[in-house]
Amino acid sequence: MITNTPSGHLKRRIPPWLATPAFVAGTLIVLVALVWALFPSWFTSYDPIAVDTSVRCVPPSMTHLFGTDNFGRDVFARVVYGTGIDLKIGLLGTLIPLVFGSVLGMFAGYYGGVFDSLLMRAIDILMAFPFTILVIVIMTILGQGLQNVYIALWLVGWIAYARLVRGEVLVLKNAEFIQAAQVAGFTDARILLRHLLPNVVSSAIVFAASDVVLCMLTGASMSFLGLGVQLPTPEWGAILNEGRSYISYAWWITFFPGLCLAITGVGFSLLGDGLTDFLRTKGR
Amino acid sequence: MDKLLEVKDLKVEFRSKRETVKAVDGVSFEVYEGETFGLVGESGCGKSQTCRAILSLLKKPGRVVGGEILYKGADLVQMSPRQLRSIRGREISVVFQEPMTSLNPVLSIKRQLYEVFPGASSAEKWRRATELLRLVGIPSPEARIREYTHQFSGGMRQRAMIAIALGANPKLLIADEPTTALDVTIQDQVLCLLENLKRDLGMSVILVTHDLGVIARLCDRVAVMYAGIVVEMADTVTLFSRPRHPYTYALMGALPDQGKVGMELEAITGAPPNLADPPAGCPFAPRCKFAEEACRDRRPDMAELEPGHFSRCRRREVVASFRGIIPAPGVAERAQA
Amino acid sequence: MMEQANHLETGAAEKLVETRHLSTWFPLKHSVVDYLFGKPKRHLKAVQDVSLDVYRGENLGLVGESGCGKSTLAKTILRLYAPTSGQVLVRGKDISSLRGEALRRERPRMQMIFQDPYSSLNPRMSVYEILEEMLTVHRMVEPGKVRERIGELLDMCGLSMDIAERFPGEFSGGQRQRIGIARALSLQPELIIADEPVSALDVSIQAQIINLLSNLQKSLGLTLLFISHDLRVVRHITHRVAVMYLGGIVELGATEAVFRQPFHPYTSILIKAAPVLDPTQRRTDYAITGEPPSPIDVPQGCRFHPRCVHGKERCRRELPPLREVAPGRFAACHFPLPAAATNA
Repeated sequence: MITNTPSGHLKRRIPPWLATPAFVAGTLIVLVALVWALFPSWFTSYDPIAVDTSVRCVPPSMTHLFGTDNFGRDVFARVVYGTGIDLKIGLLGTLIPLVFGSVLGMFAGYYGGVFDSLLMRAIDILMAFPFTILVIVIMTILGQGLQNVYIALWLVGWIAYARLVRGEVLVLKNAEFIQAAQVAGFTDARILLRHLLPNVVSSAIVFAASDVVLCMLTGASMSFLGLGVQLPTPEWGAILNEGRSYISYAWWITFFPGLCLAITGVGFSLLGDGLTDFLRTKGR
Repeated sequence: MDKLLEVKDLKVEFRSKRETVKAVDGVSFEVYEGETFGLVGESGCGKSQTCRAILSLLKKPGRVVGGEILYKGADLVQMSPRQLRSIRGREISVVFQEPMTSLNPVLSIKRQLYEVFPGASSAEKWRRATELLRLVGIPSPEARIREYTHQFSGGMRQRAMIAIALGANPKLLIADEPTTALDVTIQDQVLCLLENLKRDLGMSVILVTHDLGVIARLCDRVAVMYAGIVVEMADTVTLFSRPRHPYTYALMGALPDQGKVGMELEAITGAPPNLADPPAGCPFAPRCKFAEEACRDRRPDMAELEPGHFSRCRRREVVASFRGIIPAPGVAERAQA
Repeated sequence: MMEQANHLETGAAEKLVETRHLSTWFPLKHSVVDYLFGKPKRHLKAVQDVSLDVYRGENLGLVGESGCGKSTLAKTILRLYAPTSGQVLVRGKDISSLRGEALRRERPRMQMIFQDPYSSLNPRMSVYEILEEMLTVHRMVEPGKVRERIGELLDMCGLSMDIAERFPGEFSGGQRQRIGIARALSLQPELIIADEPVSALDVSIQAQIINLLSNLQKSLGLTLLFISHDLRVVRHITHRVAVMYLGGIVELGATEAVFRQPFHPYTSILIKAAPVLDPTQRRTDYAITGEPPSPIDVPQGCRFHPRCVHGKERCRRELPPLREVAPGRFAACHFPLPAAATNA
């Protein structure tokens, strides 16, 4: 009877990936953003859309942390309330394509055939255009509005996941444990869900972590271009757009939302890197 | 015969944040001119790392942390990268296991061969390159030299690697598992080639393998490695007829098909030790049928049981009775008499 | 083992698996340009007209070099591939064209042990989960008895229950092979196809696994199709052996007899080429020159004739069928080696 201890025992202590300062920083940033998004009223008593002409373009001070804009609205309040919208764009804009694209890619990779050829051609065509251009085109067709930002992101975003997952599945479907599952007489559904998916999804998730940043920035860009959110809804890109004309004497209107955009983007990136390391060390 | 290479108490470690793996823990042997020296052992025993250390080709975080490697009297461990470069590829050459990844896929074979002759004229390079390919038995070398790695089959790639390794007429060729990935008939061809080359060029060869059959075929002397140390060293005929270490003996017993068809093989229970945390005494003791308490306390020293035959086992009386795969020379004659 | 071999020769054994003129071809990329130029479609003819019987209770070895088709033959028998032509019969039932649910029902009868211990287990499932899935999908035991059965299976393969919660990545090659064997056994198959089960393992571990397979075969009455390129291992545990070359079987017979006295020139070369464990008997001549050819451009006539030293005119024109040249001994050769030639 063999009761070997495998060489390389797992100790119960903080895994190294968790301990890196970068990952901790990333997590903190995202957490702060989440809290801002969920409970904005905890952080500010100002109404983000209330106009107060008496305090137009006031620079940052103790009463107005980020100053006020040309309508007298507290910029800090606008930024905090806008967090939720931007986060939602980032997360929802990534989630739907992640699921949809991965499923399509998985089927295409596993079954091949006509479906796969059609899918690949569609992807090839769509990939000829830069991401942002496509989004702009769709927005122009659909019209302005937050709803349409989502739709545009979904219509364009799935491609990357489909390609990624399809590629992984093409390689993995010849792995011996998949053959073992086939020989064991498992249904295709079981093989796809239990055996294939868990092993291909990690690269899609890693990509998603950086995709969140991209979606967020694209959403903000759309608002910046006037294609996205309706005024006066606070959204970082929209605020940036509004502040454009006042940049020489009220720089804070553009600066702070831009800063938050950047920091949140970095936060998600670092989170994504930590996730990559984690997924890499888990399992084999 | 002159001593060409002498490895003295070589120690190689792989140091990471979590642990230090003692891949090679005090290995000593000598290779003489014109002989084929075998390093045999299973995976993880340190034979490959020993070879890489000789040419300073250890992959990070591996480092030589002790010992000397004397090539023609000069210590390779102390040499500067420049000095090593003049030796690598010229005096000492290497052939690796996986020719697919050892040859450059984007360069033609011609270019890769030409790299071996810097400073020669084009005509000279062509002549020598095609000659080398012919020497290693690649048919129509003039045509095939222009091809790329992927157009060569496994056996031919291995030969191409050997050709490149031989390009500068090395005194010592290190072949690390040169035939492991090959089909048996191709393996046979490559081994025959090595045998003929050895004879014709008078080269020394260090042959690293886990296959005792390859050792029997090619090697004059052999060292058996386990868990980073040499446990037995002798000339090949002696090793096969009179093994004097329980690991060697167990390894031979585990080989199938030696007139024991259908019977259970003498498997060695357990697995090799974790080299990040090696046991204090003899590393084979946990798996050894003949281990005693004292075996676990201190690592046995290398002892010369008879001229040229070394073994690291305390239990002299036990190992003296081991019978090898082939009858001991002298015994057969007495049996016939 | 010898008794089992004897009963095979008396023909008293039942055929568990039978292939009849089985061929598996893989189409090669045929571009539009090729089509326009009228070039014929090319195929990789991995398995070509193979008729092989596997008897219940035997250990049949399948040997050959790369490209000979042994793995493809095994996978076709297991219906991982659909045959291009010919039939596969299991216990007399033709499974060659079964699909979907009907095919899945037949699966538990035949299981496989794979070569690479590092990719044959799902890295994201624990040992327990792997075995549990096998048992529950095919309802091998009542729900309450699953844990117990898993313990039994692990025990049969020399593993203890406390490893069950771990993941494949934490085990050595030998242990993973044992887990793979436990997985194959969980469906209580009648046939196990072992595709190079020990090739990726160290010699000392190989011996453990060979012993395990051998003992399991005896105690469970399994039928084993043992694929290997290592002749020593095959000679040690198989009763009969089939030698494959370029998609076809060139020799078939009782293992010991084939090794002592091969009838096909290729078999004789394979045996000669294998390294001998005797340093006093060294050869300096090649066993054979040239490379194993590709199954894409198969020579006309006898597939081995371009490399055969005995080749004659007839070999070039006519493909020799696999026929009985001596009782129980089959060879696909027009001029089988004379019985006087011995090979120790």
